[in-house]
Amino acid sequence: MEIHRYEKIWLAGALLLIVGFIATISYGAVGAGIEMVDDDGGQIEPNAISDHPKFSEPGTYKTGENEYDVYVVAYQFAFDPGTSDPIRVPANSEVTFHITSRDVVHGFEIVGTNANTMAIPGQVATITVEFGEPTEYGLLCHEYCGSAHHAMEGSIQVVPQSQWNESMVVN
Amino acid sequence: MATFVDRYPDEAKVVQASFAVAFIALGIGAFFGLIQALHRTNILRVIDSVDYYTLLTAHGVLLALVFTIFFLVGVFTWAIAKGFERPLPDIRLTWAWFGLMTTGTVLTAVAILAGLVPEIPMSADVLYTFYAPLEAHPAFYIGLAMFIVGTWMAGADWFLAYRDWRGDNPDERIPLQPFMVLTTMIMWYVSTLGVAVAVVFFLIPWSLGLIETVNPLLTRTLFWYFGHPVVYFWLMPAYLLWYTVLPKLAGGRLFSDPLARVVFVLFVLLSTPVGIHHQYVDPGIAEGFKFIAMTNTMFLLLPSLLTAFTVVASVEHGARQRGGEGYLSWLGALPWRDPAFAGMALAGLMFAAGGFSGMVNAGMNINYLVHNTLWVPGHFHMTVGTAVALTMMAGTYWLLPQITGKTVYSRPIGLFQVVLWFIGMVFMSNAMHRGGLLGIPRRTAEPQYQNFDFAAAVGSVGEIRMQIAFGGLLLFLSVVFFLFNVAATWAEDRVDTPVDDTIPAPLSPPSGAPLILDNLALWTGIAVVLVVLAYTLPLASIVTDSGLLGSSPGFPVAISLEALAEAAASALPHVSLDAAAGLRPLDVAAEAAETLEVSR
Amino acid sequence: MRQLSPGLFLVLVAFTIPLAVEFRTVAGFFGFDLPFISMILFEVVLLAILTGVYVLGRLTPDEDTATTS
Ligand code: HEM
Ligand SMILES: [Cu+2]
Ligand SMILES: [Cu+2]
Repeated sequence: MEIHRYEKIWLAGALLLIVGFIATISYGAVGAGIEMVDDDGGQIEPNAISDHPKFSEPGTYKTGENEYDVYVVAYQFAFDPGTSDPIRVPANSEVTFHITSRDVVHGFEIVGTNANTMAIPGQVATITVEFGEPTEYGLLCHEYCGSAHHAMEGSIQVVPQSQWNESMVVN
Repeated sequence: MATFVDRYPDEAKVVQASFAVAFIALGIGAFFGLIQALHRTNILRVIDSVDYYTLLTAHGVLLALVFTIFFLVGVFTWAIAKGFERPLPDIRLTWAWFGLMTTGTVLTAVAILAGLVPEIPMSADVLYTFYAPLEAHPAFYIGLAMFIVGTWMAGADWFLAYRDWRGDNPDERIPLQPFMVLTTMIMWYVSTLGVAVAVVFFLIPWSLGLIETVNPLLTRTLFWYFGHPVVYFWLMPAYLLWYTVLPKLAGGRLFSDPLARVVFVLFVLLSTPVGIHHQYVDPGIAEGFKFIAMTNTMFLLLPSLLTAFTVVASVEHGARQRGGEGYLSWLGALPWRDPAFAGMALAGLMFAAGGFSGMVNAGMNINYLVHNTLWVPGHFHMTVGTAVALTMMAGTYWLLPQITGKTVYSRPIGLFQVVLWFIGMVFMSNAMHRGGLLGIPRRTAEPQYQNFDFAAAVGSVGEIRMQIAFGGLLLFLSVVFFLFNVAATWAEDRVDTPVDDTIPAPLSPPSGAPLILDNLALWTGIAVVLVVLAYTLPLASIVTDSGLLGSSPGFPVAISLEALAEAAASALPHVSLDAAAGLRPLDVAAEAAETLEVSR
Repeated sequence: MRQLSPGLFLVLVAFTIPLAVEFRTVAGFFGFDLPFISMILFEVVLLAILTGVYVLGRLTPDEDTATTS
């Protein structure tokens, strides 16, 4: 098969570009340690969330020095916690969110950040986020979940360490 | 020489009918698109926010499935008859698949649009991705299944034509256009298997109440098994036109026939084992599987990059045939006045830009920033919404005369219309990309929230909204001009040679292509192996984790009374009064809460 | 001056729009926050140049570009 010289150069360039993309993304995943949402969170029975040791009482759990777990249940059309009560975490902490849905597929996006995951019934999504200075973030559902999807929102309060107290954690 | 309609009058009727359905879908879909663009930017709200999702479902289904695929079956039927130089084996089979596809479309469309009429107890506001456990009326799924089976029959029709042709021409190379059709259909058979299993084995029985529950991650994964290759299914008719028609319109001929074949074979192999890239942020799928999908996706860039080269080289060749000179000034020698050429060239250019935003999406970790934001519709309105849709509209200006025997009513209107589409899309999709970077979500009737605002880096959110709405308006006008032009063409009188429909032979002829390229069975086999490799483990682990049928019962989009009451109780305190006025479900919810109180 | 066909002129007009829209983004990238009106002004300037070229080309038709498209 006859391949024109320019075509060969182009082909080589294209392959180089592709390999380059894969290399940078692999570096991001392995070297820089950008974590992906994966199957770590395990499964949960969506109709029996109240039997789960943590999801039955969703909220912030302290797991270590400056380390917290936040359990969030998404449902048509709210986050619990998040919507009626904001999610509260202390400033300068490392927080792992555990998110599931008790009905349909929802999304979980901390507005203006790349903390972004799906909430799929039967699955638990986990994402770990570093919080810095005290502030407030918006929270929204970014997957269509029914006719009031646009009303599904909430907030996350990053509370100053000085104001952080026992009543803000479940355990 | 007689044109297509004279040589293949029966086939021409099928192509005409397919185009007619496609254009009706385009008109309705574009109208809904305009309403959406105005509604979600809060410029003009003529519908309730609840109905927004009904229109959005219709917009997705009518444009991304009905318009594109009906146009595709029209072009492919044309390409098969013209390329094999013989009529289709049995025109009754041809009408049968057309009938099945159309019936399916009508069923699905009725199920969706019934959602606008509260009196009809039917709704399917599940968007064109229909993620379970949101549940639609069974007619929605059944219509989709009929539509897909119709496309399978169409493929069978074209393969039968191939068999007949092969019988008479045992030693010839498959002509290029039919080669493109057949490889595309192989890809389609391999990839629609996923959605067919999801719909026929799980969603239809579930919506009919024959099975209680589904596994949402499983049906979702099966959907995306099909959801990426469908992108190439949309794109292949555009590629067919870019490879075989655009060079001719530019005044030249295709650069290399063998490379065109290589590109289509690559699509057969790589289109399917990538679907998990739409699930980068899904829980329940191990990172390794996502990684495999990512690398395959990156390699899938290759055929498109090769296409860019071949198409640009062929167009340049055409320009030089027309007397173009210099490094860049040959561009001026191209037939920009021809709407078919100008439209396709603009579509190709927009595709290059769409390709860049696609590379961002494909980056597993950058994807976190843009997943499910407005960035995504920004991206695919450049690709399917322009590279494909605009190529189809432009191609119509060259194809319609052949299948009707009538000259285009107005080429200036045609040119104006394709340019208007390009301009409209620049506004709309650029602003959507920027909005997405700020975190504004897609698929949302009202991306205006009580708890927070979006912060713009350059300009303001208000500007972004204006640009989306303005762009949407131009796009809609462009469709109006297009449909007017098509209808007026159809109303003209027949002439002898409405358009020059010869396609010159490529510079590098097919004889240079290795014979193995025409070995369709081999490529099918490899494609299946790659799919098995990429999907067996993820599917197996999803099934072992949560069971084949999972444990999710169906949920209506219009929520149950109890959930309504709860939504009212939890959300209302946060919602300011005037914002609540737009939210019908919350009004209803407040009422429901009262009713519940009473009945207790 | 090279003669522009009306078709090419229209297509070039279309190309000025992404230039104008992105002009501000690029400026923002370099730290200049330009107001919305600058985008419109930039577009007007581009259109003026294009129209100028087009009109001049029409006024001085040259013989060798016989290929009208
Ligand atoms: C008149 C032209 C068009 C306008 C004004 C328009 C407008 C829009 C808007 C504003 C959205 C975003 C809705 C949202 O996420 O909330 C949207 C979504 C979409 N559009 Fe278009 N569009 C047009 C043409 C097209 C074409 C030609 C196609 C494909 C061939 C297309 C395919 C889609 C799809 C697949 C979606 C996503 C639906 C979903 O999220 O479920 N659109 N369109
Ligand atoms: Cu939602
Ligand atoms: Cu994809």
